[in-house]
Amino acid sequence: MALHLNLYHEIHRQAERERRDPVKLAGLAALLFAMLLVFWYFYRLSVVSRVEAKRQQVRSEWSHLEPEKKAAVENEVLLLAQQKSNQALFERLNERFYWAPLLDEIATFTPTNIQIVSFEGVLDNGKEKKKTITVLVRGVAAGLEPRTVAEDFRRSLRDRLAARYPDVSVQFDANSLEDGVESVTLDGQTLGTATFRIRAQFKPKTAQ
Amino acid sequence: MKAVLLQRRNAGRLALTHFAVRELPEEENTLEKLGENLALLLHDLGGKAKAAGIALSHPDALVRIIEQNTIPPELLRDALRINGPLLLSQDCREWVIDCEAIPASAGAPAPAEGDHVRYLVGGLPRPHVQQVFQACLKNKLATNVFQLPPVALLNAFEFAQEQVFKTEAFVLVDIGHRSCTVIVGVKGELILVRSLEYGGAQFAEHLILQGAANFEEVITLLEQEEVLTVENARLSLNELVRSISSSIGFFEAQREEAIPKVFLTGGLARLPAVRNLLVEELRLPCETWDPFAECELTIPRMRVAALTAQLPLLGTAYGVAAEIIKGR
Repeated sequence: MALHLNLYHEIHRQAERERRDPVKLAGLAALLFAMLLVFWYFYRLSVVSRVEAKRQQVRSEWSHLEPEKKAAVENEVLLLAQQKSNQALFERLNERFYWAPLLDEIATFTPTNIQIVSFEGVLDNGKEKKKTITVLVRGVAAGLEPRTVAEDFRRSLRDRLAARYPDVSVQFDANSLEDGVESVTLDGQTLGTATFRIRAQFKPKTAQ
Repeated sequence: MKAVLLQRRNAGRLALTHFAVRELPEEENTLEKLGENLALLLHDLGGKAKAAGIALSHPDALVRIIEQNTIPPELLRDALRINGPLLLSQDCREWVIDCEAIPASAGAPAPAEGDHVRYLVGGLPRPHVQQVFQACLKNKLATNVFQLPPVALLNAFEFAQEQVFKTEAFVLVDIGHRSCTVIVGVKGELILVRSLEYGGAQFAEHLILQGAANFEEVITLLEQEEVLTVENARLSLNELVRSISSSIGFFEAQREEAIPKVFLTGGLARLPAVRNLLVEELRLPCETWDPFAECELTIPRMRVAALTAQLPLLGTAYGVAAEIIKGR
């Protein structure tokens, strides 16, 4: 086993003592702490500078935008009123009932032995879902059995309307179907007549 | 001045990667000029090391073996420094002293509690240590070991000739420039360290005084076995021979064991004539030993011849370097 003498042992011990000197260590710790504080100070300084620059930028933008905002607030009332009337017009336009297709339909399927004397249509503008169309048709039916002809016409009208509109109800008004006193000649044949008044009620289609 | 650079390899083996030997003029060989010389030596060495150590031979150096009760080395250091006159027969208050218990020889019983333990004590005046440390600092050489040459040489012998170190009695003789060291050990135990104020410089001066023109001529005459020069050399080596003989005598009287061989290192050990004279005078085989016997050599091929020529000089440097890598 080799012999280990080392005449540097005093120097090593002194160096170790200096390395562990509490004053030196405290000084180093204080220096480190001070460096950390300085670093923190400059870090915070940079953060605050960035925030300050952002604030200046936002303030500058605000000075430009504020008059526009005021004008926009004033304009908003006007535009809201316009929007409201537009909405009302739009709704009215969309929800109106087109009579022409109905008249065309009735004119098309009315047989020759039925003469329509009057046609009265009423649109009841209640709430949206309760909006109802009432049609009152007065006419004269001619035939060997004129009341049957009138009844056929009523059924036909009901079926035609039911194909186009919901909630269809087609009825004769009370005591409105009566035999007429007059007779007519149709296609060279003398036929009896009956007068009738049909009341048809239905709801318009939601989208026309 | 000598330097070696070692590298750790697999299985704990070491490899020699660089070495340098620098001869200094007499007036340059001072502690004050150590820094400059160290810079030149490191330049010659090349390479980079993670750790470094230094061993310095100095006439003031103290190497003793003392016997004390078992005591921690830290306490013994202070005791030696304070009670120098009592324990070391000299005032050591201004010295840097270090010590370590000497391991007992193989097969010896472990010391019982209260028994005396043999300690190796080494020291150098504190200003010298400071000067060496400053010289190393100046050259940005981070040395963490400062060893005394006899201890480094013994460690080198242990690492390089482990079989002999652990199983036989041995004598190591290091013939330095101005001093010689005689170390006697047996089976891993250090028995004796003796220093002598005699070295290659005195040998050369003596022969030059006897008529040789210079040291180169001395070497030539010794190689030619010129009778007068050989006899003058024998006369000059007389003091060293006496010292080695008395050391061997001391050991053999104590242990009743024979020393089979003397191992030589140092500048003069390179001269076959000096080795022959020592063999004749001591009547024992005297041979140099290879400090790098257990090392891989990874130096350039053209430097192998230079290394072979310088082998007897590099034992101490190897001891310090190997101790850093293996021992600590």
